[in-house]
Amino acid sequence: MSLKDSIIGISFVALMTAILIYAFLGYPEVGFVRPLGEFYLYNTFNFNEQGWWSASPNAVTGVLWDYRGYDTLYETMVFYVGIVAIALFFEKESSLRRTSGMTVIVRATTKLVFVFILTSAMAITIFSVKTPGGGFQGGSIMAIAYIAIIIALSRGFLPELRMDLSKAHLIKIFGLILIFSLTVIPVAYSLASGTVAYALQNQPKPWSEFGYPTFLGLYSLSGGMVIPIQVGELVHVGMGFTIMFLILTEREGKKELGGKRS
Amino acid sequence: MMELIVNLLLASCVMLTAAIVYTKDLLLAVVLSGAEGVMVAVIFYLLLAPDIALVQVAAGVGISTAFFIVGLRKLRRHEE
Repeated sequence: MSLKDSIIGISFVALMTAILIYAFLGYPEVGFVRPLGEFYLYNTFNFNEQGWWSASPNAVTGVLWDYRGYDTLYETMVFYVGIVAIALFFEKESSLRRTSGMTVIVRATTKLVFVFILTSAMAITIFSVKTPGGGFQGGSIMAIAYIAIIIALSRGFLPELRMDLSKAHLIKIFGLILIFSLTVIPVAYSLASGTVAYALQNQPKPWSEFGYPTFLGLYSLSGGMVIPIQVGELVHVGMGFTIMFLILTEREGKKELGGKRS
Repeated sequence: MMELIVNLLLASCVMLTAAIVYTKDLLLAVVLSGAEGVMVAVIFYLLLAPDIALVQVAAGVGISTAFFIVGLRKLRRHEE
């Protein structure tokens, strides 16, 4: 690396540091809440005034899928288009050859840890109405479980888990259909009953009676449609990253990931 | 106290970035960027954004490191 490169690099670091320091100067005091934040804090889980509530104890999840639901919907669409682009350009005839993988210790541990990672992904997704988490987080963690399997036990182990490329595509599309149907059910209800309801509406609004059931008496979990729509996002994101990894590790040459071919 | 921890983590992030830029071993650079991602996740957690910390750990550390290593297999490990 030459002196010129170093100077360019250091000046970029200095510029970035200056921008970050400038951004932090406007950081609000601890305990300061803006009016929009006050609205969310007051309304998200307010039993007594349910006019604007989202029925989700976790306000972040309420904002993500209820108050700002279209944002998340289009994020999902962007992710979907990304996967479709990668699959269009790079997908080849998939060969899931069984190889020896890594050492026996790594393989045994990975099989155990795989179950734990999948369980925690589901828990992070389903309990996201109460604790931090969500569909994207759970999906990324689910993808890590499959990536660990691919690295430690080779791609050829995936059929033993009832998983291959076309099945991953199918499960991803199932998640998308779940999200789509939960989005259009209020519209169908509106057309059928003649009342006002909006796409992706979760809870009743003062002028619109449609609302997904909340189950507050049965479970302490709730959120209306938030939990099923998060499960749809979980499989969509998890299978999307798994498909990407499977496509990118497809080799034309001899070597397979994780050891020699057996 | 918390500000001190955040500042220390940010300072070590800057040092790790310098190490990533100057190292010749690309695999080491990938691993170091994963370590930096963990520090950023801790910063997110301390700044009361646990949702973003989860995304950072899962996507920023786990998946992007795996993708970088897959990309690295198609290149040479050492930069000249």
